[in-house]
Amino acid sequence: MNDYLTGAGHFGIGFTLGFLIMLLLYKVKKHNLKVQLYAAFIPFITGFIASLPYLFLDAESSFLWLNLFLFYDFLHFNEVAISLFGSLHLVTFICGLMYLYILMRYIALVKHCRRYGWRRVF
Amino acid sequence: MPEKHFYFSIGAAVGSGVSYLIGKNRHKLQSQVNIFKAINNKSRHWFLYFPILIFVFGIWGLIPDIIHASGLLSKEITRGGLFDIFFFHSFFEQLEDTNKELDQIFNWIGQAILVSMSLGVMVFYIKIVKKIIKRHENNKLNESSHTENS
Repeated sequence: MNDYLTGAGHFGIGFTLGFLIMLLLYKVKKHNLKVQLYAAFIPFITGFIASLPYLFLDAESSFLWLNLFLFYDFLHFNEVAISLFGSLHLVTFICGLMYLYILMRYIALVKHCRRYGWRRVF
Repeated sequence: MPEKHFYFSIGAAVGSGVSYLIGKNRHKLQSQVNIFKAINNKSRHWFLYFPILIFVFGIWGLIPDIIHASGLLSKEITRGGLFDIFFFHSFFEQLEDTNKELDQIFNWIGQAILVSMSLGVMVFYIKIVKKIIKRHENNKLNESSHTENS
């Protein structure tokens, strides 16, 4: 395992954070169709922001301003983050499961709308 | 060698092509082909589960790597001509051996395909939901105009 967090690890952390925000939005704004339709893009946006510096900088780069990208600099050499998200296979598995949940949710939404339209609470 | 996600993404791209063809002809298929008839009898929402097909095709592309990683066959054997049936696994491996820069390019292509596919599937569902809601609203309008007329 590397002594720094790879791009996939940063993406995994961002994706997980975005996924939690998405779940929160689903709960809080369950009557809002736009949230039901578009909140699933949040994990991708946060994952992209979190891993953006990795695309353009050296793996060993460290600048304080990089923390603007979802605490990139802090997480990059953080041992806990590396032990949790350092393995590519684990990140793939976790993100895969979250994406599976997103798809299952969409399928349930389509079934609900076919049955009731968008009148009842989803 | 190109990372595993490259082979998965090629399989996924082929799987989405197959899904597109099935989706386009699904009404014909579910009235004429027995297996689709049976699936349709089980659930009329069956086509919504098409990402399973994409996943299965993706896994097909990973089979040589799975065989190699599990220690069943050596890497030399999984690079043999026979393994081209797994989305040209041997061909890509040999291509990458002769030109190392291609490795990075393949990985980028794989990532781009995976991102666009995963977002594309979500956009597909959003479009369906919007279409259904529009249809429901039109039906409601028609019903209300009928009651006003009568």
